[in-house]
Amino acid sequence: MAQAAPSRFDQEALVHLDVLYGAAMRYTRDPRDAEDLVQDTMVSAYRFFGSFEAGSNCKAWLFKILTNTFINKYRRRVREREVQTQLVEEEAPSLISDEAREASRNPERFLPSANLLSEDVKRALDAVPTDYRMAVVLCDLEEFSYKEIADIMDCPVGTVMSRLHRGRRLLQRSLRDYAVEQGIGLSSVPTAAVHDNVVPFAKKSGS
Amino acid sequence: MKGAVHCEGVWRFCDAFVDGEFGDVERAEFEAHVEGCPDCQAIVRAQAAWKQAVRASAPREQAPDLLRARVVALLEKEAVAKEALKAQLDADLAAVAVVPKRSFVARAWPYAACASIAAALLVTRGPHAGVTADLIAKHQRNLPMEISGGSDNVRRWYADKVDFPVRPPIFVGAHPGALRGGRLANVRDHQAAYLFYEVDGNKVSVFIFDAGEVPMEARRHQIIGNREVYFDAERGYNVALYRDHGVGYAIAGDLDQDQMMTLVSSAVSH
Repeated sequence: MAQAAPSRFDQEALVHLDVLYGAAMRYTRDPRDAEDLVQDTMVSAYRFFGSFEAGSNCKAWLFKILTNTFINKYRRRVREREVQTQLVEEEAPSLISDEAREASRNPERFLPSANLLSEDVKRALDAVPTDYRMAVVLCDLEEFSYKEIADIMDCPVGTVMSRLHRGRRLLQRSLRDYAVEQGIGLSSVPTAAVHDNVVPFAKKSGS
Repeated sequence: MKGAVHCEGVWRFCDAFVDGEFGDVERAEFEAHVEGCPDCQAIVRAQAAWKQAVRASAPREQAPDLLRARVVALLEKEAVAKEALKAQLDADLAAVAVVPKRSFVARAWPYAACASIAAALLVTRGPHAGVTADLIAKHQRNLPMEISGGSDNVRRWYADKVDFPVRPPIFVGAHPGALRGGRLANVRDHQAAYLFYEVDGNKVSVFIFDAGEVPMEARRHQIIGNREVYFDAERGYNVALYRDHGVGYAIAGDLDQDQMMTLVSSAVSH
């Protein structure tokens, strides 16, 4: 078993290094932390490889180790978590219904802009609080199912759903804000399409 | 007009619908409502468009070559260390077996006794309340050592004091632990050897006892390597229990779960 393990490990686990690093970057938002996290994950995975069931989903298994290591080791450093969670949870109920109402009244304003920039998605995603960000990364970037995410994050499916919901709404809100910011900079945007949030700028340029 | 509750349901579960998480029945019901409700249609369309747009523009990272090289080198080192340790332990065991100590009986009987008791335990999982609490209480108490020093010293000291072999585990890998000493103790009113280790500057307690006397059960149960390991936690302390050659081992410390798992996976008895 000792001799067979490394090559099987290479084939099944090491091939996921890029995706693990990508997720680690989104989790930690720092290249050095991401490298350390991936390194710790791979070493743990190697040691526990005997407990990995051959034939089951190795990527999901690796993500569970990555996520667990991140939560236990790296996120502990970030103490703002509770504060963030509280803030978002307080505004969440109105966020759902208000935005839904607004979206149904004014659907085109709530659509993503045609050419979302990768750099913007990265910036907006990095600004989403950790728990919600992890859910969005696992679902939208890595395409895990809710059940797999629940297993990876070690929480109930209901929690996955609410984190995902809030994470996505916050992400969309940031990206819409960027679009508005960038829209202001463009002279081609017709004045009629400009909303209330542009007024301060209009005044500024007029004075 | 569609009922408000129904539309509210669409807002709430729009993500699950877009993510393809619905079963056939739920999906049909959801679609039936959305088809007849332009407001909900707009919302569902917007969410589907967002999901696509974010995925299409998501940043894609490539692991740096240096990281890849470092990981490969580390794994090779792990493999070599594992092999070397195994060879070393086999040699040590062979050396120990030659010395005819009175401990043969002390060592041999618990194996036979424990084998049958352990087998029974696997079927009839008895009540375990108190094992974790008991271990943590002892770990916290800062009890003085009765014997200090390395593995051989400690092992010799226990030889005529307890009815099972005390083989202080060695922790290899990222968190090497240093054995500081030990004392006698009880775990759930049964005789135990209580060893003090220092791991990454923290005190870690290791209890060795007759696995047949103390039921091994905890909230989580996992196979690590070829061992069944039981994990439990209380008041910020993590506890891991496992059996090795019919002897029970319990590790308690204020390490986090991840560190505890790593520690257990690197524990070798000899």
